[in-house]
Formats: sequence, structure tokens, C-alpha cells
Amino acid sequence: MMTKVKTQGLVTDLMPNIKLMQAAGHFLFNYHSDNSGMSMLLRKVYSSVHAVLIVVNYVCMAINMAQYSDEVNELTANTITVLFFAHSVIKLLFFALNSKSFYRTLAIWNQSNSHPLFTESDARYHQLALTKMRRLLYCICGVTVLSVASWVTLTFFGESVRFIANKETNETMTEPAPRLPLKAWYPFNTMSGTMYIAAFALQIYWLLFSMAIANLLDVMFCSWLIFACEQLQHLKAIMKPLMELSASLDTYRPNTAELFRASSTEKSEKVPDPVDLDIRGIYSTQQDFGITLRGAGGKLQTFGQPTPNNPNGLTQKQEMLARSAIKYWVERHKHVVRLVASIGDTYGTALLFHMLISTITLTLLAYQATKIDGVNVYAFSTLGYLTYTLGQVFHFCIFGNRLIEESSSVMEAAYSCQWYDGSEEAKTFVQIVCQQCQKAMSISGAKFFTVSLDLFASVLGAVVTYFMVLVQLK
Amino acid sequence: KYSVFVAFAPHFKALARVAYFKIVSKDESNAKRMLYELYRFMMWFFILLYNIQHLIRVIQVRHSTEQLVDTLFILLTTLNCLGKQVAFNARSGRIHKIIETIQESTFAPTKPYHLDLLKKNAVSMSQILSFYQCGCLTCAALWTIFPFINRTRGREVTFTGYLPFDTSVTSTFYLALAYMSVLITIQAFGHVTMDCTIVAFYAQAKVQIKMLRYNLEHFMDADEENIRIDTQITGTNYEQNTHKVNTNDIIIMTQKRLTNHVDHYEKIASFVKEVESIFSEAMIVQFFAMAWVICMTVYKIASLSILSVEFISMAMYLGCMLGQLFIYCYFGTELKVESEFICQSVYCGDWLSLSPSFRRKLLVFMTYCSKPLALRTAYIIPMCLDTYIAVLKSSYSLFTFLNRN
Repeated sequence: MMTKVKTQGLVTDLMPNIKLMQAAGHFLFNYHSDNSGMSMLLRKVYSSVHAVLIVVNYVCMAINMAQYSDEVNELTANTITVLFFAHSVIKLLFFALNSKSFYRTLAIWNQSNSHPLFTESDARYHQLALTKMRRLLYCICGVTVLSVASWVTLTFFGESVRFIANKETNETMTEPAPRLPLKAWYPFNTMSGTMYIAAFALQIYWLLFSMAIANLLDVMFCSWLIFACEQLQHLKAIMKPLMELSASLDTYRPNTAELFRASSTEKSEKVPDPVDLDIRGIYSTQQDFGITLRGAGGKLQTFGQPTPNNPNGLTQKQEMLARSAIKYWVERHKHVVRLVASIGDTYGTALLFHMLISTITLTLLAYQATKIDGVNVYAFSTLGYLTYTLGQVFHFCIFGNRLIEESSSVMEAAYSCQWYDGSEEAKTFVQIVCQQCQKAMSISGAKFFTVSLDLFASVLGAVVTYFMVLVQLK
Repeated sequence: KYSVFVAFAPHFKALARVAYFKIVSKDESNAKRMLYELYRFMMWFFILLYNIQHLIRVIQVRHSTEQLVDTLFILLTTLNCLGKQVAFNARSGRIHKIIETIQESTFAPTKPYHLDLLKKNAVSMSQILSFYQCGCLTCAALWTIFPFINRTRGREVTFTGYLPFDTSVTSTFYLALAYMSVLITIQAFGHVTMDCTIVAFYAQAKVQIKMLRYNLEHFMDADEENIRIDTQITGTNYEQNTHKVNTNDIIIMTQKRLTNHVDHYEKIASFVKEVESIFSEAMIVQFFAMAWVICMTVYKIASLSILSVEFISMAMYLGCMLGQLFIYCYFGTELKVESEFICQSVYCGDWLSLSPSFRRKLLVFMTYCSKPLALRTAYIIPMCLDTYIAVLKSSYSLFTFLNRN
């Protein structure tokens, strides 16, 4: 019987995505409940069969492109299609070669720290992340199915021809071609009959699965980013209660009226009690004068001293709670930093390949778009390709951008809480966190570019520029 | 004991072989040194002669664009190479000082992870050097074969350098061909080795930053003297299991570690600045030569058909130029990216167990390290992959524009 596979962390959150990826034929063999040799073999066979079918059909399309490369329009259209589906083949291969890296990233959040004060906030933001990830998955699945449906529908409109260049007269003629969603070379005649239906069915399957392969991997990447962003939101949300908690660590509550008295005459520095020596010696409060004129946060809690010496009446337990809360915050932030670094290492190269191919595709599409002369099949298909390609780029740019914004806004959260009431420890904590957050956490495509909305804007700008220039040159 | 200089050994050996630069060792006999000086003088003489020949020819054919472009290709590349050679020789004192810095104790590995990093770096540097050397020797061989093939096909072959005698006679032709190809092979080899050496300096800086980052992330870890620092919050006591030392030693130890790291970073930053300043003029020459060559190549390629021999040789030449620019930009970016993460490494260390006063010291360090080590050419052009992509984009736009016209 299939027992529920025990998963934790990110794997639990991303289980639907993982299951869909396994169904689509990715080489994802972990996270099954039943790991016997037979079922493993079956799964490997399943993935290999999908891989073979996808690559073989892709090669057939490439052969078709090479066959009819004389006529410019035909060549351009076929090149765009071939490049469009290069994403799927590359992503399939990339996952197969890099699956260890993916498993490592998925396992990063298996152990996470917790603190009794913040479990409620943690759970709330985790649930938010989960909702967003699910919503994204459904949205992208819907878009994929819609794209395949509209592609198949569009096949039945217009005349199914291909352009041939007449060698003698140098003009373009049309010759009839099979009415299939994709132009590909098959070893059998697909003009009509059972072979035609078989080829049609194969192509529908192929369209669905190759689009699913490419999109599901992108969805996984964006889900990781959503998770990281929600963790940062959680950290920002608990900053204020954290500072209030650590403010109570402060032994001196200044009298407000006293604060604003002219204190220029008070030159004598407040020498701390010599008994304040920290016997551990990791730090000694003798060096911690601070602004002790008004005593604001100048003195640390003494340790190893009996409680009656404690002016604020805090118990040791409360002090420990405050200190451990800061520790929780910092450890959680470091964990998020590790997660983002791992995501960048895992997926950066795939993003680089994606952007490379998308750039070439968009250049060709800009050229194709200049030839649109009316509301016909050509216009719809060109605009469809354009929207889909730009949409793919937009998809990961927007989540990359959100990560950058969230990670740099942690500094604002740190500033907006009452850090000036905090203890010395809390204030240096705020300082170090602010210094760290000045460099925003970002995902880079193998150091060539940063994934942000700037990238999308530059891509869109380039496409529009090319289009305008080409229209002028016509 | 692992010497950091191992990563540079193949580079300087190759440079010495073509008399471009030699690390002077104390225990060489006078006779050997004299011989080597003679060898160097001869190399310089022939290289300068080669360049002057090409310069004369440029003036000779200044009215014929086709031949002018052909000669300028070679001349600009060799001038580029000459610029770097002059930098290596005129500033050899500073280069020796840098080599000494590399061999100092600050840069030496102190942990097994460091050793691992340095070894990997040495391997990849020698791999890059061999790759580029093979590439340049292949290109030089092809450059030699093409006139030979053209000659056997009966086409007229003009050399790109000024020669005072007629080259249509077979014996003088072969003599001239041998002379030209030997010199250009030597220059190409030296050029590529110099590029790889400069890049190896930057790669070494990057590896040092990686080592520093590792040290910072393990700032509060136990060190070699087996002093364990266990901080445990039980109640309000930090319990400390120390074997023989008391609290004062721990303060001294953490202070010493911080001093070492600050010193390490200071040395790395000044090392990078020094390398950048030694080769700054050579980089300017390289940049201008490259820009010019790319424009001319693109201009020439746009008018050629795809499968002609000339197109292939032009495309290969363009590929070499872009490959040369690529390693500079790539390692410049690697260095910059690595240095941006130093601040994060301090954060990922265990600063929570340090006192607020010590944290303030760390904070000064973090603030200083937040400025990345970004390399620049000619003070305005950053040496990073963005520049490379901009160069690619502009040459592609130029190509498209010229093609359509």
C-alpha cells in the first residue's frame, strides 16, 4: 500500500509541484513513498520514454527547419518555433544533470529554528507563502493548458501551407502542408488518414508536455522565491516586538524631564560599578560606557549576580528570553541568506540559458511583427509567441525583484522600531542588520545579469527598439 | 608547505621562455645571465622590427582600404601585445614586489579548506593558460598555412609587412613567410601568456577573498590551539569550557583574529590596486585596439559570404579578440562579486556571542568591506561582464546595420 511519504520543509510545501514535475517526465526520482527497485525502474523508464519522445520530435522539427531553409519567411518562422521549444529540452537536460543541486536546495529548510514568542507569526507567514505558491501553480498550469488549447484551435484556421522559394523566378510560392500544430518532418506521410490523426495526437501530447516541463521548473524557482520573501516578511513583522522585549532589558529608564535639561555642565562620566565585571570575559562592561551621561542603554545586565541587585526587577528567565529572541531573529535571517544563495547556485545557469534563447527569439519576433498586415492567423500566432515569451521572462523577473525589495526593506523595519530604547546588544544588533541589508539579496544569472524588473524593462525596450527600427527600414 | 606562487609558475615559465619577463633568481651564473640578456635583446629587436615593418606598410598602402585593413589588423594586435610587454618590462620592479607579496605569510593558507581552494585555483589557471596557448598556436598555424595555400593555388600573396625585396620568387617567399609566421607566433604566444598572467593575479585576489570569507564565517570557531569556546545560555550564565586559558586570553584571541582579518583584507585591496595600476596603460591600449579591430572585422565580415576561407579566418580572429576580452571581464566580475559578499560573511559568523563593543569593531570592518573591489579600465570602463555584453550588443547592432545596407 502506498504510505504517505514523510516530507518536511520545502518539499512538503512544494509537493503538488513536485508531483506534477514527476508526471511531466522530469528526472525527479526522490520524494516517493515507495522506493523499491521495481517502482524506481518503472519511474526511470517513464522519464526516459518522455525524454526520448520529446527529443525525437524536437529533432524532427529541426530537420524540417533545415529542409525548408531557402525561403526567408519560412526559415524565420521555423527558427522561432525551434528556439521556443529549446527551453523545454534545455530545462529537461538541466534538471537531469543538476538534480543533486535541486535536492540540496529543497532540503535546506528541513530544520528551522523556533521561538515560543514567534511561532504564531511564523505559522501565519508560512501559510501565506503556501497560499501564494499554490495560486501561482494553478495559474501557470491554467496558462499552459490555455496556450495548448489555443494553439490547437489556431491550427484549424487559415490555410495550411508552407512557403517555397522558386529558384528560377526568385519569388515565393506556397505548397500544401499537413494541417498540424507544428511543422515537423515525419518519416511517414501525414497529409491525411490514420497517420495524420496519429501525428496530430502526438503533437498535442508533445505541446502539452514540453510546455509543462519548462513552466513547472520556472514555477518551482518562483515558489522558492515566494517562500524566501514571506520569511523576510515574518522577520520584519517580529522586529518591533523584539525591540520592545529587548528594551525591557535596559536597566535605566530615563526621567524624561531630566533628558532635556542642559547637561553641558555635567562633564563627569558615569563610571560603572566595578563589580559589573563580566566574569566570562568575552566582553567586559568596563569598556561599555556608551552615552552614560543619561545612562541610556549604557549598562548591561550583570550576570552571575543575585537578582536583588537587578534594579529593573527582570527575572533571569525574561532576560534569557530577550536574548534568545534576538538569536532566533539572526539565525532565521542567516538561514534565509543560505537559502537564497543556494537558489542562485542551483538555478542561475538555467536562467542564463533562458535569457540567451529568449533574446534571440524576441529579436526574430520583432522582425516577424513588422510583417503583420491584418487580423489573421499570422498576427495571432506572432502576438501569441511574443506574449508568451515576454510572459516567461516577466514571470521570474517579478519574483526576483520582489526578493530584492523585501531584503532591502528589512532595514526600514529595523529603523522603524524603537531601537533607541533598546539595550546595547539590541542596538548593535540593529546596526549590524542594517549594514548587512544594504546589500540586497538577489538572484543572478551566473553573474551575467541580476534577475529584476530592470532586466525585463531592458528586454522589452530592446524588442520595441528593434521593432521600430525595422519598421522604419522597411 | 604549499606556496601560493604555484598558481603562477607555468605562466612565468612560459614568459621566460619567450624572453618577455623573467624572475631573477640569485643563484644564476653570470654567463647564463649574459646569454639570456642577449636572447632578450634579440627578441626585442625583432619584435620592434616587425612592428616598424608593418607601420611602414601602413603608410605605403594608406590609399587602398583593403590592404590597409589587412595590415592594420596585424599592427593593432601586435601594438596591443607590445603595450603589455612594455608594462611588464618597464615595471618589472613592481611586479617583483607583487610576487613577493603573494609569497608572504598573510596570503598563505592556514586551514585545509584554504589549501583546497588554492589547489583548485592553480589547476584552473593552468587549464586556462593551456587552452589559450593551444588556441593561439592553432590560429598562428592557420595564419601561416593560408598564404601557403593561396600561393599553391596561384593567387598573389602580399605580406602585411614591408619587405625590401621581391617575394614572388619562391626562395624569398618562403624566407619571408617563415620570418613573418615565427614572429607572429612568438608574439601571439607571449600576448596570450601575459593576458593569462594578469588574469591569474586577479584570480588569486578572488581566492584570497574566498579564504578571508571562510575565516570570517568561522570567526568564533575553535582554532588550532584547541581553545574551545562553548557559549551556552543556561540562566544568565555563559558557561565556558576552557581547558587552560582564562577569559583574558579569549579577548586577546578574538582581537588578534580581527586584526588578522582586517590586515588580510587591506593587503588584498592594495594588491588589487597595485596590479590594476601596473597594467592600466596596457589596458587602455588593449581597449582601443579591441574596439577598432572589432569595428573593422564586423565591417569586413558584413561584405563576405558565409563559407569563404576569408570569412572563417575573420570570424576566428574576432572570436580570439572576444575570447581575450572575456577572461578579463569574467574574472573582474568574479572578484567584484566575491568582494561584495565579505560583509555577508561577517554577518554569517557568530557575532551574537560577542560583546557590543566588539560588535562595533566588526561594524567598522563591515562598513569598509561593503565597497566592492571593482576593476576599471581607463578609470571609466568597468571590467565586468556588463561591459562584455555591451560590446557584444554593439558589434551585433553594427553588423546588422551594415548587413542591411
